[in-house]
Amino acid sequence: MLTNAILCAVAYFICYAGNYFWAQNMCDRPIVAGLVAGILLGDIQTGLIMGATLEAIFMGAVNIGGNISAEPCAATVFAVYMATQSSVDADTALALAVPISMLSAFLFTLMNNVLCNFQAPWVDRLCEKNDTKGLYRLFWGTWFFRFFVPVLVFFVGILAGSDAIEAFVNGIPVVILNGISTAGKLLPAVGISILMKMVWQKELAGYFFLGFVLFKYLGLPHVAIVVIALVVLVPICLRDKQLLDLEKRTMNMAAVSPSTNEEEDFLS
Amino acid sequence: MTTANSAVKAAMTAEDKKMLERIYWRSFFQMAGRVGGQVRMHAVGIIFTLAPALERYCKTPEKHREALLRHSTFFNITQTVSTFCLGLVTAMEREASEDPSFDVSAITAVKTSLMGPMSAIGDSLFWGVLRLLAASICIPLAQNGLIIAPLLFLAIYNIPGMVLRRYLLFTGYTMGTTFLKEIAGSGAMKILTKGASILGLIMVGAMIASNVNFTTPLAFEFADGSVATIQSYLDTVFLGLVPLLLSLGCLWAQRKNINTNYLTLGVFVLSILLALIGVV
Repeated sequence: MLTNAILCAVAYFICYAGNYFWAQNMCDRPIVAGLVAGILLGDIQTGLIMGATLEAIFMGAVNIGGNISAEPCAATVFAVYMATQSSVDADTALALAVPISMLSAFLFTLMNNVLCNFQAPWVDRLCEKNDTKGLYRLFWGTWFFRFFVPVLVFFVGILAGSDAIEAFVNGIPVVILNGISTAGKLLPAVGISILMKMVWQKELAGYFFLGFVLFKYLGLPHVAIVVIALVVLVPICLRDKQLLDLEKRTMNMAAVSPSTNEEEDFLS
Repeated sequence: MTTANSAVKAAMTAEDKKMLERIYWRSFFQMAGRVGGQVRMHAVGIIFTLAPALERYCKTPEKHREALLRHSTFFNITQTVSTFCLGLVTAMEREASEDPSFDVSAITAVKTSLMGPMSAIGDSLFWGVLRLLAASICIPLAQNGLIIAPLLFLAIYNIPGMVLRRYLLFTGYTMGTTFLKEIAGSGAMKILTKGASILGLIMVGAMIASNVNFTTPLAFEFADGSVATIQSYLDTVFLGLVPLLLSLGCLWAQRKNINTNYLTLGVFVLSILLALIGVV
């Protein structure tokens, strides 16, 4: 039991943390996680088949922006574990794996979208001190912890069993869940406002609202908004360029004309 | 532009190439840490990736410190296509080191305006098309118990990305260099900065609109039994009013130099409070 729980946790960490470690290489997808769990638990065939089944189920689910409801990787490792322990079919194994994958998704969101936000001042302080090594330590430390915490809970979850996890997930007050998910939706405003500050110029502020309205009211994708922005932008820049050329020419004339005057004076 | 591009490519020194190669290999690790959560996203990963360029171009500790601060802001882009932006940024960092009049805020503006649209293309191309393609080829193989299936899945998904990533880095760098060479010293830099600012502002507006979301289920029931939701009133006044006001509030706070951490904490506490009183 303990050995299996450790092996499952290792499989989960390899796949889950390995995905973001190198290039988001998709090794946390069920089809790969199934194989890894199968190898570690000593039943490659079950791992492969379970992985393929779950891949088909989770095919549409890609976690964009960290908002995920169930975590495919945890579900897969757990389902493979269940399948190697008793002869359950894929659907039953998946149903049993749902609570733990939801718990894992919740923890990951909590770590990434809430707790990690409070590291921002550390980043500033290290940059302020020009401490690149410190930044890298923080970087790799964050990588480890943000995956290790869900993996640790996953490990405890396997020891505790599916029923206990379900009871725990249902025990989290809905109000707190709502609050955390609202915070996750609102907090990007804080980060993006730093960018706003950097590009903000009072006389150009209207363009900010243009971008906002184009997305909210017209629902245009970002690519289309870039095209519109360029259409707006290019004539402005070309006119500025003409003004600049004009200014240069006037300055040249101003620079040339006194000398001709002098020449005339000299000649007369 | 194309001939100028190939001229730049030909003029690339061994040192330039070595630097870009190092950036290429580092770029694969850019999303490991995500230090600073939603507020910074992958800023530190970008500092890690750009380190070879920053070391080379920011010669004094003071310049290097400024560069770190400059790149420590919110950055999030589909990593496979991120290298195009990073190539451009590398060219701009070099220009900044050579021309003291170069306005470095243009670097942030370029990053800001590229991340949204490039991610839109990158996400759908890689996560939508390529991943689905890889899965649909490999699922039947895995169901037949072939151990090669997961490996093939990884290969189909990752190899095109690795090739594209390298190509985009070099393209971004040569395009940036060509463009900056053409306008250097003509006084057009000011126009470029203004243009980048306009583009940056439009894209930051769209980014707020797409990334910051708020809805409330709160509703009032009138005496005649009809129900009015607060959300519909808010939407009538202005679509996305709450995200807009919140982001403007954050901007105001940033300009007042209020600690970002308090701001984060404030938004978090506000969210929990709203949940407690039943607004969300």
